[in-house]
Amino acid sequence: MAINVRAKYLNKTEEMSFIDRLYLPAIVKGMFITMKHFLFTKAYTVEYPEERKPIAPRFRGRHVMKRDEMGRERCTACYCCQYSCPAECINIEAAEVTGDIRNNHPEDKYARVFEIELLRCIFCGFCQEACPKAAIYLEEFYELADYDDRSKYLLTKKEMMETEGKPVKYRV
Amino acid sequence: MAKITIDDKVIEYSGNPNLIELAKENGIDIPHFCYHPALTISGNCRMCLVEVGTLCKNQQTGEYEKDDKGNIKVNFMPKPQPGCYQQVSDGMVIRTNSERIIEARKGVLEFTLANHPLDCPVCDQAGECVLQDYSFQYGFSRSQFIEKKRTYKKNEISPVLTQEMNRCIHCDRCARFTTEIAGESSFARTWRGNKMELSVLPGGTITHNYQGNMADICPVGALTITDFRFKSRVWFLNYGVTLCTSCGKGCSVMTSHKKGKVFRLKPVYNEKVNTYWMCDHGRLRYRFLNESRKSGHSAGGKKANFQSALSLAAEILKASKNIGVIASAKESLETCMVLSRFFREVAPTAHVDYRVDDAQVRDDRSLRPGELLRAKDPYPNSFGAREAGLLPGQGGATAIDILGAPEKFDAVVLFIDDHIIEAGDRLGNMSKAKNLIVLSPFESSLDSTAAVSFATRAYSETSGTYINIDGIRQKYCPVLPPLGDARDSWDILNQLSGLMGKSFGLDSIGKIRSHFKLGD
Ligand code: SF4
Ligand code: SF4
Ligand code: SF4
Ligand code: FES
Repeated sequence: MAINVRAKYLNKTEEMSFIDRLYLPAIVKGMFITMKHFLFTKAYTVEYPEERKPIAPRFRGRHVMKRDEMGRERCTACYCCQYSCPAECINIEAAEVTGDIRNNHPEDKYARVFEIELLRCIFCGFCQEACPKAAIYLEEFYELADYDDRSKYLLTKKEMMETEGKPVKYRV
Repeated sequence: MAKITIDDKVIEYSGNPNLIELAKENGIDIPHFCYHPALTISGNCRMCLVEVGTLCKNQQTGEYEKDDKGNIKVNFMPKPQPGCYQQVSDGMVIRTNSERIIEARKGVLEFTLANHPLDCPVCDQAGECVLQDYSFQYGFSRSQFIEKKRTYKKNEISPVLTQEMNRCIHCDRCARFTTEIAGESSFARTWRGNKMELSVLPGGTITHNYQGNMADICPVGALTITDFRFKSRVWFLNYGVTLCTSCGKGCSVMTSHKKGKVFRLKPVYNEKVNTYWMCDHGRLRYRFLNESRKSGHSAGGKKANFQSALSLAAEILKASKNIGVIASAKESLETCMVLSRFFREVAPTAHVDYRVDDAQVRDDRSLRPGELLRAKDPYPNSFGAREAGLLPGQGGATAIDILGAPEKFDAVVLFIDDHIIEAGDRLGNMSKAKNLIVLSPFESSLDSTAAVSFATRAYSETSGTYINIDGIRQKYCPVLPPLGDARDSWDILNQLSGLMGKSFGLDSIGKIRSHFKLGD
């Protein structure tokens, strides 16, 4: 039905006047609009990647794992984030803290393995919300695209971990 | 019949029941930490506070006093009483959720939590912790306690248990269990008040075989099982009720499993067999359900599909006159019945035996010395195998004979179970056997030398019946899906009977039960 109506409309031809057939007025009008934008309005585009748009304070980018004020890993492998993750993309393996890694962890348990499958993550931030230890945050880093290797999307603990209070050095 | 009223619910009772139990039977939950139905009452946690009232009787006239509305007046005691050791008497009125009680519980919980660390993210008990549940249900989220909490180091008090004294709420269940049930006096309360510790006494060690139960009854995560430590959070686990197969007692147990792997066993209340407990030996043998399990059949050391393995086995059995059969009392009564019939009717032989352990040879149905549950017989179904008649006939060789000299037989049918693997060198001679047919849920070195090796289902993956040392019949159901192409032993035997021309037609457990009149 709708298609028929549109077809009818398209088939309609109008008789063009002499001025129309000259084309000049239309060209002048078009050039005027172009020049107006070109000379008198500010450009909206950003020269990415040299220039970047500011992001919102609660932007949810890639995950970062935090350390506490003494530089120890906050995460204690409680699995709350894994439990709350709707995409089921977090994989944790807990282990006992023993020997020389003691200084690195405030509790008896730590995450020996902590992985996030970034391709499945929906960046909902539930993990951040669930974490009782304020260990995992979704921060401002968003340049996640890569072109050669999908295994890079398995984010490991090492890649997420903040180093001595400084933000993580991002890969990619 | 005597009557009491709990929260406006009139309850009839007889005898001298415990108030908490009576309320529970009638669907009213009285929260408690230190009370345990199998232990003496200690009354130290005060979580079970209730208001207790009695009907008002006029001393002179002997009549009940009534209020304006004509209801009998009730005199409540001025202070809340602990419900766990409240003597129940006729006409008593109990309130478990009045405002006063709710207030009192909050107070008790605040005290209980005063020294309790915020350890839930680290603690293995989280998710099945009574303190956690009650804090949600009855507590409140503030605490006035600003002093330093007492702290202790983690302590491995025995090979089975890890103790985190920080989390202990001094309920004393573990110490009472040690003295009353396990009969040891090496573990008790030391120090007093705030500083109270539950500790192994100087010079003592915990040696009993029931330590896992201490972790089970600990309402918090102060005592946990070292083996399960940090393995999985409990809310990721699935649960299934089955039987323990590590001795002739056959305790009721619950498996906690995830993705086909069993993580632990816990006892399930079974009045006739194990009540609330199980032994550590059985508890830690869940490993067999995970490790070196067989998922496919093989013939001559190479993988084979079920049908070809089956026809090869049928050919071997048809061709052999002299067959030795070593059955296993880990198989269900149903399998034993089919097995017994198979080697009477289809491939007749006198050399059938299930007794690979000394205790089975002696038909010993006693417990190990000093044990509460664990039997001498390491097999859960020796009684059933005996009932099925899996014993050597006239002139037949015993299992020990066959294990000793398997080369004397044209073919040997061997059931391999976890016990015989664990016992080590029992199977040493078996590689000499001529035509070996193995049925086992486990991989073993014999798979490469056996003519045919079938993968059977472990008891956790099938259903059946065990008869324990006391003659109690217990059924179990599968709690896990079978591994790969593994079949039930009775299924393999039934199909073999078909191939050998004397089909039983017993293709379901129900048919076997009704055919052998095992009840349903
Ligand atoms: S942001 Fe959402 S989807 Fe991604 S890991 Fe966290 S909880 Fe899972
Ligand atoms: S990141 Fe937080 S929520 Fe996830 S395991 Fe670690 S402590 Fe628990
Ligand atoms: S260790 Fe557990 S069972 Fe023992 S007193 Fe403490 S809380 Fe109670
Ligand atoms: S359960 Fe009654 S005082 Fe602990």
